[in-house]
Amino acid sequence: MDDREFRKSLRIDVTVLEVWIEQGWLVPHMTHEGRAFRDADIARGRLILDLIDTMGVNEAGVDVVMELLDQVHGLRGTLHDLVDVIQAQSPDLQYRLLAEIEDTTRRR
Amino acid sequence: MSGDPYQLLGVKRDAAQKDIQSAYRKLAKKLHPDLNPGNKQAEEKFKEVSAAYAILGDEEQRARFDRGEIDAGGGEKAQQRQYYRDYAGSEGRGGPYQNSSGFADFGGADDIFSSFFSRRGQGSAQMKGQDRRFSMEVDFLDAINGTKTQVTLPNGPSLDVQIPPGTADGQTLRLRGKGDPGINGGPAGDALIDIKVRPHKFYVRDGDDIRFDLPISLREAVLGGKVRVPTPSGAVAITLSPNSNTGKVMRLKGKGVPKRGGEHGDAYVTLKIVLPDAADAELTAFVNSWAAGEKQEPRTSMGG
Repeated sequence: MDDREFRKSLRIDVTVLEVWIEQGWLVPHMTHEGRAFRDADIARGRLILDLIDTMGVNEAGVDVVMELLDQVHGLRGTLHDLVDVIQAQSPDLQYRLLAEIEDTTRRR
Repeated sequence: MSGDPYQLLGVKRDAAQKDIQSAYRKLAKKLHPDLNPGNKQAEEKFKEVSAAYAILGDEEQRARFDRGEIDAGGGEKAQQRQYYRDYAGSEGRGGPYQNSSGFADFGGADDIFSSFFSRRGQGSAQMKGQDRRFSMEVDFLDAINGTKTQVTLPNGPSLDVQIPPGTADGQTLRLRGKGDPGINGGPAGDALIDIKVRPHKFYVRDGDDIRFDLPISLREAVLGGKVRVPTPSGAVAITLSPNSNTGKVMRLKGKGVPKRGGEHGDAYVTLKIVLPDAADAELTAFVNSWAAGEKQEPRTSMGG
């Protein structure tokens, strides 16, 4: 969707959208027709609105939240991959890996 | 929603509006599904708390609830909503929001793990680099005839800039790929150069045409003949007819600004008679005895 549709569905005005993009909270795709937004951007926009309106978080706070949230999702994704791969191994190897992990955790 | 909204928000029945808001904010921060990406129950609880706040957060609704006019379900909005966490799983793989700094220190520099952990970081999220804007001044004739020049960018390198013939004041040149580097191997941005053309001593640009005054001597004006005229693309000779007056405009076809497609605008010269710098006795004597000169009334058109 384009700028206008995006702003309409979130009920925000142009200056708000520009701030979000400038801050890097939103990264629209660039197309020949200009900026384009996806459903994920809408969901992200709702979150930003929740942070500001519902939770009373200020701009600096939103900045921190979005940065950490993206890191969390990065970590979750990688951890997912790791777990998926371990689950695809033989039960024997899975057991050994988990035992090693527990061992390491205990030693720390 | 079934529970008592006051209980759900953990406030007393006589709590001030302000306390209700702050209780809700606290809970929202704890329960917002996007701040609990792995917790499936968070969404349900967040919905309950939001529905409770929809009643208690609004003084009027709250009063109606207290009088028993609406029940706890009154604030419930059957709102089906996708949270960002529902997209984030796939966003992390090559999306613009991927962020692998959470494990930047995992694995050694060249072991196989480092590539595993940074894999997400090198996804396909290629982005064009930012455009950068500059401005530069160009001499009038360089802008008309085109030139090659260099501009040193504030961030370091100097760029060869081709000023195309016919460049106008205020025009923006785009140098592809000379802006900020792209992200993840994406194409670099462009350098945008705003051109400011310095004014010329006597040429004035008028669209694709050039206008200027051409000084001629009294002799050339009276007798006519060939005179040399400088133009931006070199001198040309024009022939003045006898008795050519000041203010007469002559067109020099194709001697103006180069246009796209190889054509040129025209040059328009306005004749301007110039007397000798110092008074000349012979000329003074002649004009003094020149009967027709006395009868000429050049200002009749001005009235009075």
